[in-house]
Amino acid sequence: MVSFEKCMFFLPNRFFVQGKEAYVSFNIASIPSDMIVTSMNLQIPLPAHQTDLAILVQEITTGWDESLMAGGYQPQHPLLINQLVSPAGEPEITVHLQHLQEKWRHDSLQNHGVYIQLLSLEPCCFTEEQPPYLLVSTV
Amino acid sequence: MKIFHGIIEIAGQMGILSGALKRKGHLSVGYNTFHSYLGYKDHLINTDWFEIQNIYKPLLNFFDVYHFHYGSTILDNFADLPILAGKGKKMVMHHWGNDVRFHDKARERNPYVFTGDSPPNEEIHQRLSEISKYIKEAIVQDYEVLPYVEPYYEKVHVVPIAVELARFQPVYPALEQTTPLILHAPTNPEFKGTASIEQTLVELKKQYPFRYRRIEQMSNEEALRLYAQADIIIDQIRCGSHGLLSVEAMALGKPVVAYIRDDLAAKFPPDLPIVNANPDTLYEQLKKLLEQPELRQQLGIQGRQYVEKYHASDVVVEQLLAIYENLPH
Repeated sequence: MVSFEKCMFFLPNRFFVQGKEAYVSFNIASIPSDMIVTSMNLQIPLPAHQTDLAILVQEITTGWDESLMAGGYQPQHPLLINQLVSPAGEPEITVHLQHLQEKWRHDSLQNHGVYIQLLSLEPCCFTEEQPPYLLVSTV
Repeated sequence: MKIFHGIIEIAGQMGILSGALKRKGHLSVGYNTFHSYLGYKDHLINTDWFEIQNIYKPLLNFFDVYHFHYGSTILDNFADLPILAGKGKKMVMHHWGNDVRFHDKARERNPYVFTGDSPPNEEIHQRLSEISKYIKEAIVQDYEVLPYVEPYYEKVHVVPIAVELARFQPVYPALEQTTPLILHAPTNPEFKGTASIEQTLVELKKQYPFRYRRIEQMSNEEALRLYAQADIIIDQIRCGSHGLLSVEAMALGKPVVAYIRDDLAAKFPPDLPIVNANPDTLYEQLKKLLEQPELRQQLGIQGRQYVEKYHASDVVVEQLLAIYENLPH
């Protein structure tokens, strides 16, 4: 049994889904200032998939919100964080985002979240009902 | 399981329960919009109502169980409850006392009770009626609160207040202490009966040597450091049941004075070591404690044992998980 006692977890403060693409950000400024973040992992729930599923994760570098996105706006996300493969049937995948914790925690103007894309021919899409979440371990 | 606690933190319970749930491998967090000098923060996201309204969509989607507290829910006017019900989410409402203490009902069996902090009866009734349209089960901490909510829910569970035992190293009262330290920590003096308590202490001071400290406006962390120095701790003497202070004091190995209503005493475990006193009997009960250091130490030891058995968060969480498992959805 895994204990989450030393973890904080966060739900998105912005989350926009468009088929195989998702945009998500988290406000982690509430982590107490006397705590040190030892890891920060993005947990991405995946739609059901019968074959291996490739996922692209990139850092978003410009501001956005759900209303703008609904009107067709697309923020820039040029920086590759990772490209991973989830084996067939896996419900969730983990992406390490430790390198972003300082920025996200202390400089909200630099916190635009991440872009996630499913690179698959399978008819699987992200849904609003299954938002990604952030697991932050601290000491 | 993914468990939401929110949105009003009472007695540190959302955080304590979330911590215990996380130790059992569940994802649990308390979203708290009620901030006070007590300064609770462990396993909580301290936020405000406006921020909650901004992020309500993922909040309503993500969790499996919604454990609400003190008659509060995520959206205004309980607008989230039909949405959560429609999504098949499990829900439970945890009532803590002043959110549901009907004024006349409270006075039926207790001439000492102060209900000034409770809303008017009509408001309590209206809120309980709305909540129970969608939430079928409730939790209360003891049998004093139970009767207020029982008519509204299909099932009401009694789950004791929880404490993180690891935070409490017992310091039993010393037998050789000749001027015992008495502490009283009223978050709400009228509710707790502080005026009667201090009047009684003034009378006792004429005959017995002791020190007295009233603790107010202090964070829970700082207050615990002071409780550890006490020889006697007085909780409340009006409500008819004990609260978190009694449990924390017992966890620290201190004898506790509180008023437990006669008809409720039998509903507590028989080994409850609280010294039962109301405004009329407080003098005699304190006199016994001041005269008998062995009694103080013995009650302190019994109190610690009692908390380990009934109030440790790892014990309480098992009851909670059984409730969550069987909640309707």
